[in-house]
Amino acid sequence: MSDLIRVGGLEIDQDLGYQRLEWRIERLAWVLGALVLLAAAAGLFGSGPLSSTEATAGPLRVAYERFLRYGATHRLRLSVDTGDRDLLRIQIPSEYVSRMRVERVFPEPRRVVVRGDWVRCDFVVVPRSRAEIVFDLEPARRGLARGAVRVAGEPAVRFSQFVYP
Amino acid sequence: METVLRACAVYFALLVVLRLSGKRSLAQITTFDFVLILIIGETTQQALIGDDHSITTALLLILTLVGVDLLLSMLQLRLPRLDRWLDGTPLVILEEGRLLRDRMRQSRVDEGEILMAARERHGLQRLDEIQYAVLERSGGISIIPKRSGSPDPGGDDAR
Repeated sequence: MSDLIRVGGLEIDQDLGYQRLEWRIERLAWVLGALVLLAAAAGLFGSGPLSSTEATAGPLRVAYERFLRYGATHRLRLSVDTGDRDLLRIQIPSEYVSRMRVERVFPEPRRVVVRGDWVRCDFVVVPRSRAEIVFDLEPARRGLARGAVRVAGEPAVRFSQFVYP
Repeated sequence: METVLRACAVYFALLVVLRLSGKRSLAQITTFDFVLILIIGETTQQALIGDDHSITTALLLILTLVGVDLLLSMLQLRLPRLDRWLDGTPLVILEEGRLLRDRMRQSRVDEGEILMAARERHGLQRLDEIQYAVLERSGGISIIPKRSGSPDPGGDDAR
């Protein structure tokens, strides 16, 4: 209990100085709250213009989210110019895969091969077309995740994602 | 350990948000306030438990939340300053039948709400029958009727 004062006949622990401070902090917090919501709408916490982005290297284009939330599924969308290939070998670092739970890969790879630090998924594709492949992933760890994807023998697309708790 | 940390994080986050939203926000004045509490409860539950539906986790959670609550209430008894920060202070919003408009505006209370509390608790009909109205730390409004105006200051209300 704070100190009691008397207001007329009323014994009460009212404290006007503190009350005014509280109101001021309250108003400030509302502004902060509104800013957080605006930032969320812009995608600071995932899925929005601040978060969704693309990166390209060689025949591969990867669309990904910069900001992820722990336990919430996100999508990695690959678009590959198949060239002369009829078997597309997509490689992802094992380190990245270990940070994510793979919910679904579509289309399903013909086989998955683990080789050194990379996991390779082989897809049957039509030559001279664009192959679209999606990975639905769920972050299993919080913090910064460094990812990479490459078509075997080509330069890798590297990206960083931040996973909110 | 994860569960305990989660529970603490959610507890303090809720404490801060609800405290900063002001006394009146969750005082259950309208039906919608009640719905709001339900929704907040539901949302919090997801963040607390996640996918883990074991009894162990449930018990750990309960133990953590009750523990933190107990710890804070003990600290509050020792530290009046902390007490104020956590629960706020009561505020007189009507004195001798006179409305203190500025305080009412800042705390988002209107005459209607004071009159409602006066009717509910004491069966009073007019503002001038009220000696004091106090916005309590809980967000509720308590009414002290004028001695001469009301024969039953005990508050056996006319609900």
